[in-house]
This record gives sequence, structure tokens and C-alpha cells, in this order.
Amino acid sequence: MIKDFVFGLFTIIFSSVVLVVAFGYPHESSYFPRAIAFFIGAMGVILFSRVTLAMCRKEGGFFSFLEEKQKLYSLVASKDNFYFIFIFCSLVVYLVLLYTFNYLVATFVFLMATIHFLGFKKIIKNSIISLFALSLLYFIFFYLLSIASMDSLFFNF
Amino acid sequence: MGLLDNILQGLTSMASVSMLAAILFGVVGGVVVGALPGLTSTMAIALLIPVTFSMEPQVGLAMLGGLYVASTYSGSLTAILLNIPGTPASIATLLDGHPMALKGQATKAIALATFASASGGIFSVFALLLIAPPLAEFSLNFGPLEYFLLAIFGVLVIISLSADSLIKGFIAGGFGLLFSTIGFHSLTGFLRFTNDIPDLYDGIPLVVSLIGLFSIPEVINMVKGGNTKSTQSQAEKKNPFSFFPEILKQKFNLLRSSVIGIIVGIIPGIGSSIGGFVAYDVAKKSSKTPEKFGKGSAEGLIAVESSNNAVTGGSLIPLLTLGIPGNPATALFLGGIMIHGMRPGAQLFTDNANVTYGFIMSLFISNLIFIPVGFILAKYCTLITKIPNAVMAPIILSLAVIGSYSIRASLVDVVIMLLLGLFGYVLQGFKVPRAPLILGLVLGGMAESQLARSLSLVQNNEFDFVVEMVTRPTSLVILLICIYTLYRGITQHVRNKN
Repeated sequence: MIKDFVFGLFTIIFSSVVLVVAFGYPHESSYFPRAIAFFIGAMGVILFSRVTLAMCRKEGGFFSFLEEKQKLYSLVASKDNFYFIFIFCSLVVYLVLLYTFNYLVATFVFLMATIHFLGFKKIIKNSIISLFALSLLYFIFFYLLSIASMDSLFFNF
Repeated sequence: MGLLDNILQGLTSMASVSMLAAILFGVVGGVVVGALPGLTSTMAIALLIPVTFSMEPQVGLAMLGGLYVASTYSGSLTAILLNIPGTPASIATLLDGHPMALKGQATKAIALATFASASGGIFSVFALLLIAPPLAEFSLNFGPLEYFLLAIFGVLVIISLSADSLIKGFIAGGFGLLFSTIGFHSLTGFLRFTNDIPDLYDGIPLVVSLIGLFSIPEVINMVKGGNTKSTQSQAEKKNPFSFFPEILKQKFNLLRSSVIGIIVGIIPGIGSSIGGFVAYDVAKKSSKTPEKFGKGSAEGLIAVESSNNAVTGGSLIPLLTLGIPGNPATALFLGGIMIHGMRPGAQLFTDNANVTYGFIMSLFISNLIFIPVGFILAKYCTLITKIPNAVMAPIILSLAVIGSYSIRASLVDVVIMLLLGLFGYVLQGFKVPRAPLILGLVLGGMAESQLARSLSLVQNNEFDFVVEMVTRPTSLVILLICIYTLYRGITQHVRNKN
């Protein structure tokens, strides 16, 4: 229930922001996003109201959500979100490496490091797998499909 | 020459080694391309067209045709095994394909998807062969108003995708429609929600959003499973051909979904992903066990796969008869046809009958050949489930990155993919379905541009717009279908909740 409460609130805020931006555009170019934002906002209000009413009807009244707040804290600080943060940060680092070095170096380092940190600690097998995966990806995308190579600060190829 | 003579001549042209080799090459390439997220049939066709220049016309077209039909099918392999759609056509496959794999029925899911795809493709080839000209004439009845209503109908299909919460489904669909407004307005050219980032001027690429919304959350789920062999899906050791009788039990579902796919394919601009969703919606509403949909229903999977492959033949009908490409892949086919000095239209079926009917018969063969090719590749794909998550997850991430980059050779697309991955993870956490978001993203552009065109045709007079909607026969029929879909969907949701 707390998840729906938060999502309803998020939807209302998101649609409000979109509406503010969309009303800054000329009418003929923005009636569609305005209409969609209104619709999403209305759905968000319905969801939020429904959940709030349900919380009020619960034993303990609306403030029984304080018990749910504990659930929310444990959700935010859960191990699942740690994995997400790890994946997200590793991709950001990968992007920085792609921009700084070339695709080959960045991808090899990314694969080796991520496989290692996720628990596969066999270094030699890790290097072979990383090299194989890198070769396959490079062959398919840069050789077969002739994708334009990535511009980087150093070691352009 | 009569139709039968042309068909026999087309079949005769199959008896050459070069023709069969071209078809096989196209099918194998298509199966590989479609299975890899980030690679699309459009990309592969674009790269092969110059190669076909040196070939005989029917050989070149046969290779492109094989690639087109096989890649539309093989996106279902990764959708079933990894919950990551290989192509936009296989988004709807996620709904029941992956749940089947999680129940240990991966081989059954792949077998049913393969047979259903082949059946849908073959039905559409028959439609192309026998009734192409009148069907093409039917597609000319569709003006901006009809396209707008079709987009609305597609959005209403969201109802059937929002198993648990209708409101959340509508919100997700709304997000998709909003994301589709990023970039230039199709009529006024005004830039919206781009924050002066040039890479956003053309909007968010569909493939990038697919990769972000589905790959990243799935990789996180994989990583949560720990450093074990992937438990994402388990393939039972069974001969895939043993599931063929199950397809025969679903004859009516197969035929109905194929017809839906053919009709969706005929109407230019709709796309194969929509065909799958519409067929799924219809199958769910007509099913005796609708509660099984979304939890690994063979009926749902068969509906989606037969429809999205039937779109391939359907999309070639307006292309060959009227020169109107239905999607980017068939637009490239137009290039492939013109490179060989031919022009679409009636003369393609008269002066160039041997090439045209040879090409159509090659599609028939391609739809049969991808069955064994698909099973062989799927056998190797199921080996993927034995790879430890710690190894599989980074490889999928690097594939997601290069796949996103390859669309426009832009690192900004990779950033967009990452942000959408974050958004997809948040949606997953709040138990909001992602399929309606993709549907909204696909249909939003068409809905807005066709609405703008319809309004401009009546000088922005809303009353005249409504009058047009109810007085044009085609638009009235589509409007009634929309109203019925909305009514049926809401009452079914209410009934399920009670």
C-alpha cells in the first residue's frame, strides 16, 4: 500500500512538472502532451486518493502508515537496491571509460571488473571469457555491421 | 499468364542452388540478428542491399525476405529465455513466453513460438499470393482520422496488459505517450522537452527504450539471484517437435491471430509489435481461461507469435502492389526492388511476374526453413541458462551498451538507455507494467501526428472533427471497436477484482 501511495504522489508531481513545461509551449504544438499530462495526473490523483482512503479505513487510521514507513525504509535500503546501484554505477564508469579510452579497452576492463565483483573470482577464466565476449561483440558490431567507431579522448582506432 | 502458372514458375525458380543458398543465408542471418537485442532486421537489410546488387533480382530479394521473416521470429528466443525482447515485434512475447520458461517449459515455449510464427508467416504469404490487390485497395481507405483511431485502439489494448491494476497500466501507457512527444512536433516542427540536446530532437529511439526498460531490470534480477547458474529459466529436455500437436489444437486461435497480423501489416505505419498486442488482447477476451494469460499461457504465446509473423507478409502487400512501405524494413525492400530496375505496382505482377512470384514462394520456403534453424539456435540459447549469472549479467550489459550505441552511433543513446533502465527498475519496484509504456511510446507519435493532420483537414473545428469521425464508415467502425474494447476491458477488470 505504501508503494502505491508513493507512486501516486510521484505521478502527480511528474504530471505537474510536465504541465508547467508544456504550458510554456505554443498551444498548437503542445495540446497533446498537455492532455496526456492531465490524464496521467488524474490517474495519479485517483490512485493516491484510493490508497489514502484505504489507509484511513485501516485499524489505527491514517497514521498507521507510520508502520508502513518502516517497510519503506527497509525497501529503500534493501540489498536489491544495492545491486541496482552497483549495476548503475558500473555502467556509468563504463561510459566514462568509453569516452576516455577506446571501446576495446573500456569493454575488457568493464567485463573483467564486473564479472569479478559479482562473484566469479577465477581470474584466468574471467579473462578468457571477457576476451571472447569482447571479440564477438567487436566482430558483430564493428566488422559485420560496420558501426562507426566511438570517438574517445585517447587511443582512437 | 494465370495465377497458377505464375505460382508454378515461382516454385520452379526455387529449384536452383543459388536461390536455396540465398534463402538459407538470409534465414540464418535473420535468426541471429533478431535474437540479439540492439540488432534489428532494418539494420541487417540495409547492410545486405548493396550485396544483392550483384545478384539476380529474385535471389537478392529471396535473401532479404528470409532475413526479414526470420528476424521477426527470432526476437522471441531471448524474450522467452531472458525476458529481453530481441526485436520490437517480440515485446508481447514477454507476457507469456518468459513465464512459461520460468515454469520449466522453455522448450515448449520456443517450440510453440516457432511453429506459430511459421504458421502466421505462411498464412500471410497465402494472403500476399491470392488477395494482394483488393487488400491493398482496402488500405487506401485509411486516412489520418482512421490512423488516429487505430492508435487509440492500440492504446486501449493496454487494458488487457494491465493484469493487476488498470490505473497503473494507464499511467504507464500515459508515460509512454508523453515520452513519444519528446523532440520535433511532426507538423509545426516545434521542439519539445529536449533541453537543447540535439540527440533528442528526433525523439527517443524505440530500440534504445526497449533495451533500457527491459534489459537493465532483468540484469538486476539476474544479479540478485547470486553467483549461481542462471535460474531465470530452465529448459526441459524434450524434442521440440513433440509440441506440434498442441499447435494443431489451437487452429482457430492461430488463424484468427494470423488474420489480425495480416490486417495490421497491410495498414502502413502500424508495426508488427502492435499486431502481437492486438492478437493477444483478442485471444484473451475469447479464451475460456483468461486468468491464465500473463502467467505462461500457451494460447497467449501462440496468438502473439502467429500475429507478429503474419505482419511480415501483410506489410509486403501495400509495398508490392502500391509501392507504399509499411515499416522501415519494407521501405528498404523498396530500395532493393528499385535497385534491380523494377517498380512496385501492377507491372510487378505482370512484366516481372517471374521475379515477384519467385520472391513470394521464397517467403514460403523461408517460413519453413526457420523452424529447424530456430530450434538449432534455440538449443544453444538454452545453454545460456547454464552460464553463471555473474558472467551472463556483464555480457548482457555490454551488449545493451553497444546495441544502444549502434542505432545512431551516439553515446547519448547509451545515456538514454541507462536513464530508461533506471525508470524501468523503479516501475518494476512499484509493480507497474512496462509493456503499456512501450505501447504508448510506439503509438504516441502516430496518434499525435494523425490527430494534428485530421484537425488541420477540418480547419481545427472540433465539431467537424467529430462529425467526420461518425460519418466516415471506416472510422465509425474503428470507433465502435474502440468503445467496445474499452467497455469489455473495464467490465472484465471489475469482474476479476470482485
